[in-house]
Amino acid sequence: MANNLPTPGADEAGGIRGFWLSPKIQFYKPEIFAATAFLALLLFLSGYPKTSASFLSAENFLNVTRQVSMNAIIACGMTFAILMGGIDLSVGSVVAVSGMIAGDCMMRMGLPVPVSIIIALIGGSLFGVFNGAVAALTNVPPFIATLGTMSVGRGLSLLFRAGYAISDLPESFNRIGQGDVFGIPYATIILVLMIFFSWFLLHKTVFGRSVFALGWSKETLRLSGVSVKWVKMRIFTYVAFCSAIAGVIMTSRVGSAQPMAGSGWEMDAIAAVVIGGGNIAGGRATIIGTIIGALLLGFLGNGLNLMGVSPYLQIIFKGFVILAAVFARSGWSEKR
Amino acid sequence: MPDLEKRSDYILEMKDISKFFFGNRALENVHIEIEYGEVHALVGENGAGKSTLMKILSGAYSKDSGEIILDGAPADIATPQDSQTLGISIIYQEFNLIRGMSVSENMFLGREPRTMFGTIDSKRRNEEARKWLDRVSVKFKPTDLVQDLSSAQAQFVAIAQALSKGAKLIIMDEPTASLTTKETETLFDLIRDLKSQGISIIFISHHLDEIFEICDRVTVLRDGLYVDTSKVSDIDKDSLIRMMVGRELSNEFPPRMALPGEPLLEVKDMSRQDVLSDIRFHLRKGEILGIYGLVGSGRTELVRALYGADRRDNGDIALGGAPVEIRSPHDGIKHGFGFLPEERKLQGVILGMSVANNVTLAAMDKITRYLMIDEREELKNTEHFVHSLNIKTPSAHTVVQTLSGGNQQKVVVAKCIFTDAEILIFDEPTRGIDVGAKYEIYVLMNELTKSGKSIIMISSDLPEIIGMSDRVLVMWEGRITGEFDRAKTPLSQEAIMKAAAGEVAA
Repeated sequence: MANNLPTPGADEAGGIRGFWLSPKIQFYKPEIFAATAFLALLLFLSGYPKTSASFLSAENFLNVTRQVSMNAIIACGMTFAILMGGIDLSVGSVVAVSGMIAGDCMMRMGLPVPVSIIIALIGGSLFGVFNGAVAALTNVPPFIATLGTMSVGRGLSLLFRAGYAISDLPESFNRIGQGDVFGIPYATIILVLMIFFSWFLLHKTVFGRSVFALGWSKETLRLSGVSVKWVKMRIFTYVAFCSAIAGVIMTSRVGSAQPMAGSGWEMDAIAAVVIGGGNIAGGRATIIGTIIGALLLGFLGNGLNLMGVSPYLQIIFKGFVILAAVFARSGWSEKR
Repeated sequence: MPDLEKRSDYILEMKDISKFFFGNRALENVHIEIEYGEVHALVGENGAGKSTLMKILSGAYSKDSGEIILDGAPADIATPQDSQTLGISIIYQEFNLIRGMSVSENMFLGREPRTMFGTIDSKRRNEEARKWLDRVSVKFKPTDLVQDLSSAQAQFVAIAQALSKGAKLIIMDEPTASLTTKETETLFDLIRDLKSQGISIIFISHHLDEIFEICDRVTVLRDGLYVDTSKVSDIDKDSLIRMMVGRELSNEFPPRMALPGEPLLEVKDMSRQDVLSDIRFHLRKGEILGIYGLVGSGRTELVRALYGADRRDNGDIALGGAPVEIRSPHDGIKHGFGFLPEERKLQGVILGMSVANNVTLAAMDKITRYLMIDEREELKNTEHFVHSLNIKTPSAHTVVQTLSGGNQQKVVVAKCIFTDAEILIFDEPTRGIDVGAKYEIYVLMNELTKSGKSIIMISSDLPEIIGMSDRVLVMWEGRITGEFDRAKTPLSQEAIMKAAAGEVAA
């Protein structure tokens, strides 16, 4: 008789309402909503006289994708964490740590660039292994566990050089974030690869199915013979791996490993996921939606820049955009 | 406030109460009358309508039709607040107390005494609480935290709270479920005391002995219908059981044709502290083995331990004579078990996933090629099940949430079969499913056993157990208290009910 069971995903996403839509379209409703908002923004920016000319250049577009790439890559990972009903707050710290590891390997230990990058990616991912282990083996909620590793990571990256940055990185390394091939930035290429890989992982593999199922019912998943612990381990490891990639791009983009890099980035990644239709309670999020969310945020910043809006005002504006995007989808609370 | 001139013989009359859920009868023309200062038992099988009736009385549900007369005057109960104002209090099985707050904080939640500055007057609150706690004769302090109390003590707090709100009629839903014998005695003393103070009590219990010990009259419900009301002193346990289960078995069940074959599964010495003790049984190929027991008898715990979902302290499991090791659901599936859990929506399906994704959830490896799920293969298999199990769904891509309960349940069955399970464990397969879909599930079970699969079926519905099982195990307090084989003697409702109440069958 308990017919009003809590149904994650359904409340906010509106996924089960609207029978006139096919199941597939119903499922992507929030994404379609976000995409519409995104297109409206693009149309506005290309039509608005003050921004039109500079906005509509290929250079500007590629530049935005380069700027967006780091947040979008982290947000791909964050999609997994939010889909399972968790969260990862340590992503920004992992960005800094992996950057510092890469810098230290190249400048102090004199290791070749590719080896340094691999070590940085492994080092960053280990944070995810730890987060995953806490999520799998203890009852500490991911919010708290990753809040802890966020602090640990930040402290470690400051410890490397007593708070100083590692500068004068090799030119070949800096090309990752600064260079391009046939006019397309390397960072953009990495982003496209990571989007495809994350999409494949989430929507085409047993692991991705399990993440989705975990967000709805841990018990159903467990009784279906899937190891919930192992799924959690892999989710957090993947989030940290994505953050480490973003960390390498960031470091090479500015040409120096900064201990305070990536601070506050967890908020941008979470914002991208929820704007793209992700439900913070779990059970609903897609890679496509997340990417739309990240692009929306990126082009919004770009447009405001071109209009000459103060960066401080931009931050305030961004906050209201996030609120409005989620509100437009989820609506008022029920009156009783 | 006792009326000198009683307006009626009864403190409560409920007349012609009906309630339907989505066209399914929960109650139809049920009536009950409670006298002043009496302890009135309300009994019936699981699903007989007791809880629904009490929820209507307490304002949690609204009735479709009928009349409630309280103290001789028609009462309009639309919300839980209404029923409280009218002096009705319900003590739930899981007490509605906030564990982190003190006893007195709980008792006066939302109606705290205030000081002249508008702040909470804790001193007066604790004094008030003490007064009511004294009335139920308990020793603990108003400042004690609820989480430090035993469940018996928490129950006394709930009763004291009810009294402090001026309750004239207290509903106790399975009050002894989590109490020891000694605590039960203390509770009964309190009930007698309350009775002498003119307070009426509706007492819901599965323990028939308790009814004969403490109650004055008893009303029996069955399948949402009123059966009878009688003085407890006028009847005995056997006639009470007959009233509870008296439904004649009609053709709600398809005839069992399959003949069980040789023994397949052998379970020995399975135990888990405080939950299961010394369980041994076997299952034959093509057999439907019913497990009956009241809530808390350990039936679900038994099958969960068998499947690997819960840990067990002991227990040897052998399949076809060879011992197998089952420590997780993954092991269970590997050795050919399929499990349809009790809570369909929370444990059986992923509501937000499509039919196809649900069907393959427990055997995703089967449709994975080169690390990638082969969606065409998935679709092909799902469509086969949609067809063969007659799952009514617009398509294999439809989200399971939009399907009816019966069709969701068929999706779970398909999920079990897709793992190539040989032994299917069905825990309450027809709970919350309408009659037509129930019959389809029964037919399906017959077909499965005909094709050589074996089924262990747990059910709270006695007619279902009798109508479908080849053999029945009855459990009580974590033990098997009876085994009945249809091949030897016809299954008797009375005998099964007796075993379920703890009387070990001879």
